[in-house]
Amino acid sequence: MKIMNCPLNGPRNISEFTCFGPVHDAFDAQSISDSGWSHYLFYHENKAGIIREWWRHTPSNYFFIAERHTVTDEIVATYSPSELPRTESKS
Amino acid sequence: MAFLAAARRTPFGDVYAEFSEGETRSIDEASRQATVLFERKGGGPIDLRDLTRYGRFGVKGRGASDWLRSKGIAFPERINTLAPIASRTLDIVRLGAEDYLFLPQSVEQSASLSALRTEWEADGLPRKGFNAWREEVWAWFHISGTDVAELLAKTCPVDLNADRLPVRSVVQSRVAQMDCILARTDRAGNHGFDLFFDVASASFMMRSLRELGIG
Amino acid sequence: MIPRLPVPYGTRINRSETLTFRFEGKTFRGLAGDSLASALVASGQWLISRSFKYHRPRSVLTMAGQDANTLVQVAGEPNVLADVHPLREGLEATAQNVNGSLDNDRDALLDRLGRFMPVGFYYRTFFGPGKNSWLRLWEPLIRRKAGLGKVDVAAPRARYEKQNRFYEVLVVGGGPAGMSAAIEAAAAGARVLLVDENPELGGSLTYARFDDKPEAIAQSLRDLRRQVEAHAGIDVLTSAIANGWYADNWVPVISGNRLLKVRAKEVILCTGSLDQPIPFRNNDLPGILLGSAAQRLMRHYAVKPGRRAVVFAGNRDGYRVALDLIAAGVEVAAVVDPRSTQQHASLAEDLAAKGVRIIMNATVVEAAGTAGNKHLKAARIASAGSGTSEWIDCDLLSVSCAYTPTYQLALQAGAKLSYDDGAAQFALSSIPAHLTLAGSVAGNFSLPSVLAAGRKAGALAAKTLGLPGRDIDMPKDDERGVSSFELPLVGHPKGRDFVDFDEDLQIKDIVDAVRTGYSELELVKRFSTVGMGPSQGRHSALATARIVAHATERKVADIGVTTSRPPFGPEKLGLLAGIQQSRYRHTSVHHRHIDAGAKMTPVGAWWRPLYYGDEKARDAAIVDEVNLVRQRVGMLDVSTLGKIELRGPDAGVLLDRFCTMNYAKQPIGRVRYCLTLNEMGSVIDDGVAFRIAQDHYYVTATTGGVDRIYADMCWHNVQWGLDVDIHNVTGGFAAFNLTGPLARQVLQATGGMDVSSEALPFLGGRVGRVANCPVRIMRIGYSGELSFELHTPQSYGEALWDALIDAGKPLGLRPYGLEASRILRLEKGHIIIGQDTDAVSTADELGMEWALAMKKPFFIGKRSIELLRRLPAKRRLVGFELPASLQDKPDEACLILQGDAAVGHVTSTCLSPTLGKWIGLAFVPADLAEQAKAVTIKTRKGTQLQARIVSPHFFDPENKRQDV
Repeated sequence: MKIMNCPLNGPRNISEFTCFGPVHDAFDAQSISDSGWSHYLFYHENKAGIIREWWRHTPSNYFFIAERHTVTDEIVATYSPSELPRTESKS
Repeated sequence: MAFLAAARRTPFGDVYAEFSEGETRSIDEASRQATVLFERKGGGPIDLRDLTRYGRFGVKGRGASDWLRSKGIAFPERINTLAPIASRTLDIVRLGAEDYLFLPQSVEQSASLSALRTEWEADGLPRKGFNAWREEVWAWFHISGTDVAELLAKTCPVDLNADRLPVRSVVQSRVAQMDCILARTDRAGNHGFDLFFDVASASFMMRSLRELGIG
Repeated sequence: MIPRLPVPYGTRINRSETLTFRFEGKTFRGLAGDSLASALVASGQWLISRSFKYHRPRSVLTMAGQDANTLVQVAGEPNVLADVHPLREGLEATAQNVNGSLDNDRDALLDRLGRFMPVGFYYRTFFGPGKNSWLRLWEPLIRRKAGLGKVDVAAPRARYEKQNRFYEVLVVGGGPAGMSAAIEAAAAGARVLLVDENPELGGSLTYARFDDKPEAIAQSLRDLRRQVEAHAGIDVLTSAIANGWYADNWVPVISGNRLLKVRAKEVILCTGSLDQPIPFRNNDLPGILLGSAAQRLMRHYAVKPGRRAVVFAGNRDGYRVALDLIAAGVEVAAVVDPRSTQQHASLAEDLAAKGVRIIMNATVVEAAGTAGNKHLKAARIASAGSGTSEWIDCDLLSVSCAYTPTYQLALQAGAKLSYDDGAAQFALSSIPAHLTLAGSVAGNFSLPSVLAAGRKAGALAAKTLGLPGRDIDMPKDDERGVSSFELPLVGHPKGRDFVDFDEDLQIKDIVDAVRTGYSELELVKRFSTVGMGPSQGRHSALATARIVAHATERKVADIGVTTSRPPFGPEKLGLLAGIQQSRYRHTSVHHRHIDAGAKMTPVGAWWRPLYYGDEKARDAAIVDEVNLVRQRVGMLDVSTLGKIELRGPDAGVLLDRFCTMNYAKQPIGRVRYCLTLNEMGSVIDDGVAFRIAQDHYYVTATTGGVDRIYADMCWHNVQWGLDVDIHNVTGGFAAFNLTGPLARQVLQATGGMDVSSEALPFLGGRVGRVANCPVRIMRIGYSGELSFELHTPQSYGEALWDALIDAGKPLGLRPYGLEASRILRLEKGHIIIGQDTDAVSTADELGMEWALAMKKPFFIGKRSIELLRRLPAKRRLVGFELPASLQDKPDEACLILQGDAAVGHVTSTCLSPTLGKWIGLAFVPADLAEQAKAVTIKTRKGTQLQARIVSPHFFDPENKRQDV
């Protein structure tokens, strides 16, 4: 069982967490092109290397960012979403 | 006209101890509910008390910390810790940046809790957090005994040993496959945790802990 | 009973306690502390099992639970390792995999048919002669011939537990290295768990011979044990197996009926190494065993392993075994050393002084057995130099030639395996962080270096933990390089030179697999099944690697071993299952449903009333409940609905983005439908939002969807950064739907609130008190009748329920269940998310365009809807009806046919008690979705029914009944 370090609750079994997918750059859903939108929905970069993901610690309902290496599955860093460059709303 | 409060009941059918009405119950009387789980060679018994019917109060959301400051209530700097509010015979548990739970230091002292709640409700501050419905959303158990960490280790994936998790530590994790908050209060005089979890699962939690405690 | 060796032999047994047991129907006697196999061998019963394929007689090989030779059935439990299974009074054991009896196995003739069963013949043979012959003919036959024990399905249920354990240091293996490591780490202040699979600590110190005198070794062992025991920082688990390594030092340790999930900051593996057999013809005869097994029999159990022995000594330990045998009174007929020069002069002198003949540059090429090959009778020794050979009579052949490190856990953790040509054995490298190896698994062989390596590992672990670990110097290891010997692996012309005892594989089988074209080890394994038996290649991996290397002209290091995965040893399913607890959730009035005779049904973790009444009168009860709601008044416990408090100035903004209708503009005191889409525009959930105040919405979600909706809302809000607090209060509120033409009268009878249509119109909401309970009332309902949904804090649930039932009794009020509710909503054409929708259902397909506020600048899914609307519609959810008087009936998931083609399916259907006909919802192609058209439904029985497409609002389409 892998350990993930929750910025709020400390190191916990990965089974206490849920992944909410990669962090996307902010964009405006209503002005993006059709192909841009379908690309966003259906094509995933699937990069080999370190990616940023949203994670949730379920018992405390705390959302945070994890940087994870997709080849080694090593969790490189976890931090509060406030440390992300501000994500603009999609409205 | 004044409303007569309807009888509030816990999942086990006990009547809630209302703060505002007459006598409150002592922890000794709470022991009426104590369930001896198991006796172990070289260890003491484990007991489990259902404290669901006793007062607790939660405030969460923006403004909660400000309201505490406005009342001169010192709250823990660190999330996931419990601290006494000496002037009020209350404990405050910090569960998040803007998420607080107030517990009576002893369940018979719920008048103080009631007073705090009234103060909060009456306060006209535009932002003071929101009622977190903690007395409705969560059941409240206390489990204790010298071997309590060993028993809980069968179901909780966090190290709860007495020498590693000091009194007043709070853990938000899982017990009996469900989200559960464990606060080490040693309320009954020995190593023990307050458990807060889904009130609709109270019967399951009781059965689950008893079953784990048999062996 | 054959007399045992005197004390100090027999460290595990208690000579004063005799145990009686049965094996294969015969009564035997053993001693307390014996393993089943030691007691059998001590009684002269060497034959313990028959081999998997050829049914050859087999006996103890390792005496360490590492081989499959001693698998027996003990009462209802199959595959028990007799060499480590503790003997108990009255134990009943039988052999497995025999046809007839162990002594007289009718399938033993398979041994002579071996040439008709070459490697891989399974794949070539069992696909014929006819269709399904594998299932009909071969599999049942092979199961009978090659089964591994019988599961007793009537076995009593045992209690298996799991438990989490947390340590700073976990030491796997309690031999000299492991004990030293534990002592050193604990001395530095670490909390240590020391795990060993044997019943006592000590490892090789408990059975092997060293350069020091046995008394000195015994003293060292006592000292180490005393230090381990004395240290409060060390917990010891013996008879426990660390059965794998998982990410971040998570090690399952099996201790009896407990699976301990041990999490350690540092893991030190002192797992030792495995003595390896050598291949020669008939190398599997009972009486041929590993040198360490002979030592274990003597030291642990005081069992003399034979009368006259030939000792094969490819390493120093072979010489030591010979000395041990002599000391125990076994005649050593010869020591056979395959090396050309003597490398252990002083040991050799010792042996020579005792009159032992040492044959250098020679090997064992063949063994001969007694009648039926039940025991070793003689061994043929061939001298490499002269090319001559001789038979030597013996009833014991002990083999000491090579070791493989017990590398499994290290490899699982990510270490690499290489081959040290100089030392002629596998070596581990690239050890990951927070893992340390010490002892023979790390290539330390002389006792001083093993002890020092243990201490060094313990100190290192302590230092990594930030504790004051000492600096430890490593002495020179004078046994490195003389512990393993690369015996040439030349097959005997007549075979039966087993490489893998579990699978009866000989040298030629591996060679043939390579010749057949499987030159990669992983392919050799799958074709030949080498290493796939119960011992998982512990004694075959090295030999296989060497054979494959030789056959493919590569280096052993390039061949390696097959991927090592957990578990290390077998584990019982009970351990994996643990105590099975399935969560259940009860509403605050669960007991009232039970009292009212409800048939309860699980909905996720919740339990809900399906209907009230006797199971035999189920259908009538459901129809009654429907009629009750249509004609009078009923009450449904909807406490399981998801409930979310949205509070803060941006609550309306959040809801506008998250759901499809207009909420920011929704008046206070109004209730509005909530439809939630995903980004693809598919419908994922629905509910309602009651605006209690400017900055306060009380939102419901489906029972099954609320956890996801709540999490998604919170997640989006973290990104949107709105000023709103989202709180899941699902369990905290009870909710009851009071519905039917008389519903208002019930509330008027309970009193407390004005519930007139002026004060509380359809889709209105109010906060107040009913029967002294604080309530949030919404004028909504699924049934299409006048409805009030009352939400109250769950602690008031029972009081409110009782008050409503009491007040409604004169009006005929009764609770109704989920079945009636499903019919009532279908009569109104309301969808159930997940039943009438799938992963790609859009609001347009569902006929719910009215719920999409497309003028809003944004809501989740809006962008996709815009794109989808430019494409032609593919399908629609439509209503259909059929007459009640049918020979057959439609069902959920029945196909809609167009000609022979399936073009859609039924999502919901029922025989409507109100309308007196079959009604239902179905997905049909868009071009069929016109009212009055006919569609064909294929029933489960295959009948084709002609249904008519109608509006899905089957009953009261103008909603006159609910808006009163």
